[in-house]
Amino acid sequence: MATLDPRYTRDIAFYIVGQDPTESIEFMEKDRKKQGYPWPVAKITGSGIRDLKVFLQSTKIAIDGNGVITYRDGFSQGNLDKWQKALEDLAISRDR
Amino acid sequence: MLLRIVKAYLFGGILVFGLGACGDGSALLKSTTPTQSPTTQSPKPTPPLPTHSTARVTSSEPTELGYLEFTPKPVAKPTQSSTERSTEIRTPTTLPNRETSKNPDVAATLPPTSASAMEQTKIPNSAPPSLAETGTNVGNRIPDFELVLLDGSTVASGDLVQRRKPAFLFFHAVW
Repeated sequence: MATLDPRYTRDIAFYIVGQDPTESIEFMEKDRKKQGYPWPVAKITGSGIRDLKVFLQSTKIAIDGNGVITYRDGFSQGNLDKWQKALEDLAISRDR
Repeated sequence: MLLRIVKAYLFGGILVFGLGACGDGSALLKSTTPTQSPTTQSPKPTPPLPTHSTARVTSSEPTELGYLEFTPKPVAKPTQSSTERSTEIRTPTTLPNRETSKNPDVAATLPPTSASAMEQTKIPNSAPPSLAETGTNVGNRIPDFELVLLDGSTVASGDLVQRRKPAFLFFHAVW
């Protein structure tokens, strides 16, 4: 994920969301720096993990400007090309 | 006297032939100073010149008034290069989009192939939120959620929609 083109960060709100409720956001921030991710870390409140049905590790969800899910995958289901394509589609939807 | 009659006949024939070769008569008939003495040789019939030619053609037959020059009208060159035209053909979505931007009613009159091409280029699941069903699959409107960032600020899904800001959530665990 760290090799994704950083230019999309300008047009797309990119968040690393903590999936483990036992991990603090500070701990996540340390790991973010270690992994080299350029995006901000965040914790989802309430029953967000359950509401979004995030049951797989490294789940990725792309949402367009209307709040509609345009891409979703989990651990070992995606690859760099698919993520890049999902981000490009998001950037295009913003330009419209 | 007879020689004059023959010269006048030949000149008239060349003049008529020159106007016929010009087609619409808009070409230039111009005389120049003769460099040779006039001759009584009859003009050779030559095939009509192609209208797309831009070359300046001069008759090799001298006349009483000089050489007959024929300059066809230059053909207007196409304003679009062949490269641009071929690009348009390779990308069929360009033409319908341009047409519909001028007149929205054109979309209804487009052939079925163009309409299907427009449909293919639509970003999937970009329907207005009111039309999408709430869910967690692709094409669904995402359920409401709220994120808390490191600095304590919050980002709600409704805020992102209000700002029409696309988002990419990467759920991650250190373990």
